[in-house]
Amino acid sequence: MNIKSVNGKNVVYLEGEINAETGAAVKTDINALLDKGSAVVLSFKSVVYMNSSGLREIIDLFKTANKNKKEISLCDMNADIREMFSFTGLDKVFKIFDTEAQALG
Amino acid sequence: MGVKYEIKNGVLTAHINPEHDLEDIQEVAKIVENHGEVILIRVDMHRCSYIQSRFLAGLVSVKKLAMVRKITIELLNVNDHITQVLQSTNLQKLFVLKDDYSSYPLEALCEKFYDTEKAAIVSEYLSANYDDDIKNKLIEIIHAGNPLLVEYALLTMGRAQDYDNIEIYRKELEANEASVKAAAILVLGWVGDTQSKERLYSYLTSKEINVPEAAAASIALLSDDTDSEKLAKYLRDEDARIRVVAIYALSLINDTKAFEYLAEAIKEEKEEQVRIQLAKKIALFKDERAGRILLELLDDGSIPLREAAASGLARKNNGEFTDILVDKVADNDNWVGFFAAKSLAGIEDERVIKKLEGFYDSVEQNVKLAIIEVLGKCKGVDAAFLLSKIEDENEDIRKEALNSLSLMHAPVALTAAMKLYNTDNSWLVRYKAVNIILEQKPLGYDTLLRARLKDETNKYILEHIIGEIGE
Repeated sequence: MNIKSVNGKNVVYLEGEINAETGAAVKTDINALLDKGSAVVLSFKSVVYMNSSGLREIIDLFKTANKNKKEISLCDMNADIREMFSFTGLDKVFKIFDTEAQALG
Repeated sequence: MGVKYEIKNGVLTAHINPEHDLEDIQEVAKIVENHGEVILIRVDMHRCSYIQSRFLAGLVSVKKLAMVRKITIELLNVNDHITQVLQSTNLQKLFVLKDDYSSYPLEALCEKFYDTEKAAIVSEYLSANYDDDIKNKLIEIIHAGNPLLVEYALLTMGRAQDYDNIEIYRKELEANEASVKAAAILVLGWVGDTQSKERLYSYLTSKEINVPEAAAASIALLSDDTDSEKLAKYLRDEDARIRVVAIYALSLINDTKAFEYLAEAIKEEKEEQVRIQLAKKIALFKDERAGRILLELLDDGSIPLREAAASGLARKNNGEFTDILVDKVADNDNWVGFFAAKSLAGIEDERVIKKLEGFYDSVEQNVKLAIIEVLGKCKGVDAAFLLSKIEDENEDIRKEALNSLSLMHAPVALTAAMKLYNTDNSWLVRYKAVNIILEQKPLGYDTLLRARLKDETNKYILEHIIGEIGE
């Protein structure tokens, strides 16, 4: 997982597979980032596989961020990952952008 | 009474009162004159249902002032009628039109749930600003029972991750309207209410719109080790829609059991549309058996299924089957060749690229097209091969070659496009050439294209050029 800081926002580049195990690790790292900053963009550009356990970890992350008035946005999803979000209705929950540039506003 | 306004961090926000809108906008001009620190003007018009022409004159005066000081003007919460007036007077382009829901009282905001275009954005705004007032208002709406409002109230509470009102969501599972039921099911999945999961199974076979889909999604989100097995029985349901819904849920759970049930189902499933979904979802599994299944499907009798399998193989793209796929490009069945070629998109192996180029002359037209398309997605492809195809007799080949060149060798594509945009006899090729010129914008491109307007006869190309550079 690489992290880049752009205009005060941290862009986190998720990679490979997001499941219960990797999702939990991602959650811990991003929560630590959100302790220091107010916004994080999650780039799904290099995510190849994801399952519902991984989605649950992302929801959990969102829940904590929401409680602490921090902002999480998602971007650069391939069509399959995007479909997972729309099928579960989670595209209504998260701010999802087509590109990193759009997510950074 | 003067205009109500505030200035914060250089942003002037003025709230126009429709009873004295003219005076208000004139006063905005004075405020801007007197406050050099203003860097953005926001004119909130949420209370205005119409405007007089004199108001427009006032607005233009503010715009003139703003232009001198290079200040942007945002018109907030402009209704459709006023937007039309601005459009008809050509004034719309002078201003940035935006919605700002912080101007509205909560009651008025919730009324916007009736507006299908605004409901989702308002729901997003309310969830981002969720507090006790909003929560209580949404609960009041749910108790009042208007289905359209209840649906969005539930979705808003779910978006806000409100865990304190799970009983309300559970109760709405009994709603008469499918939209409310589906919203409640989704929200229970979002908030992780595992206690409701067993109950959600009963909605999987519902005939109502969106209800089985919502149930499958939430069951997957709430799943544990036992759910793949429970869902697998729905893969044998007599209703194809239910089988597809189960496929989606199993692909979301994405564990070994789920894979095995889907792998078994594709052997038995008869309906083409369901088989296509199975192929697409099997491609989402990391299991090494997935590639082998997709490879076998490349020989299936159904063209859409072969396409889904090829697309799945291209997605996996792990090199494991590259040699087999390359050989299949020259298969006797040209559709097998077509989809095998397509599945090689993104390959960077020079040996494979050369082999594809070598097959080109001996394969059918559709395979030729697939090869050219795929070469436009392979790093390391030689421009000379693609360039030789822009002289082909077939317009589709010429167009595709131009497209692939533009993806891999932009300067070469531009040189080719500059030649073809006014000489090729196919409008499809000329359109592509014009597109490349407009994308790359070489020096003098606008003069070049404007000159083309005289001789071009195709209305799509004319519209495209005029749309970009004007008449």
